[in-house]
Parts: sequence; C-alpha cells; structure tokens
Amino acid sequence: MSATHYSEDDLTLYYYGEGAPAGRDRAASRELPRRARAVYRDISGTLAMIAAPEAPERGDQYGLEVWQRIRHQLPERPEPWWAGFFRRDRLVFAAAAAMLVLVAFVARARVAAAAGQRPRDRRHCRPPRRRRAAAPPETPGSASS
Amino acid sequence: MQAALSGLSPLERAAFTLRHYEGRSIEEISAALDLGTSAAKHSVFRAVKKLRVALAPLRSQES
Repeated sequence: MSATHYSEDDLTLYYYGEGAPAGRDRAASRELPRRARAVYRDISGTLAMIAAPEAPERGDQYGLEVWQRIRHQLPERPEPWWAGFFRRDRLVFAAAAAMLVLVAFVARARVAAAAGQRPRDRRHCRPPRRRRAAAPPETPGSASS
Repeated sequence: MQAALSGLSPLERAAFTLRHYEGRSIEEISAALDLGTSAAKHSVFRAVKKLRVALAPLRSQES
C-alpha cells in the first residue's frame, strides 16, 4: 500500500467513503503513506470545519415571506389574448358607451311619447301606396258624352 | 466560512453541497446536476481544493 500514490482527488474521495481504498473505514487512513496521510489530515480537517448550517426555526408566515421576497424575480407570464377585454379602462369605456345608448333610447322614447305617437319602425311608417284608380271601361256611348 | 463557500462557482457549490451536506454519491450528483460522472467528480474536487486554500489561514490559527 505504501507504494501506491494517492492524489488529493483520491484522498477527497477516500474522505467521503468512495474510491480507493474503497469500502474502508476512515480509521484506515493510518494505512496511508506518510505524505498522503498529511494531505488527508489537511483535507479531513478542512472538511470537518465546514459543518452543515443549522436551519433556523421557521414561523407560520415563512412561506409568505419567501414568496414576497422572490415574487419580483420571477418572469412575468404572458397574458391570455382575452384578458385585454377586461382591462379597467376598456370596461369603463364600454360602460360609458352602454350608458350613452340607454340615455339616447330613453330620451327618444320620451320625445315620442310627448308627441303622442309611438315610435315605429320606419318600414311600417311608410304610407301605403296609392293605387291608381282604374279607368272605367269605355262604353260605346260614353265617348260622345 | 460563508466567504469561502461564496468563492465557489454555482456548479462547484451545488456539487459540494450535495456531496458534503447531503451525503450524495458521485453518481447521484451527476444525475441531479445532469453532468457526467467525471464532471461531477471534478466539480467536487475543485470545490474542496478552493475551500482548502480559502480556509488554510483559519486552520493554521486553530492549530
């Protein structure tokens, strides 16, 4: 074993229980050559310093806090094509137009009521065509009279 | 410690986190990061090397 050369990468894998010498307990580092042992000690000492950070206690509002923090970083979703119809300015415009039509209708009905006639469709208001009175058939004696 | 970790690239930090904190194997890391086994392994190695350099002053103070 002492004849084997271990690189830093091998020793890193060794620290994590992978690679050569595979499956050995970490106490087996005593079997490493002296130089490799020094490097291994340095690697294991450094990695042992890096402890997993302790997660702080999360309150009930934690999910909401995270959402408020990241919501501005998310890309905006494109609006569906029909969403434009429900924009506020368009709704206000449509409501104003509908109100105008209603007011015009009511005003027309009142004017018509004041004039004493019901508003009719123009088609039905046309006066009936006058038929030309058919000329009386000429009788033999009528020409002279 | 945070400064040392922030000196890693995002890929190195991800690989190191999976290996060191979560105890994932190299194969699992390569699958999680969509890398080859060799690339995942070398990301961990680079991270460890950078951390050794960054934390060397701290280690010498301790010893």
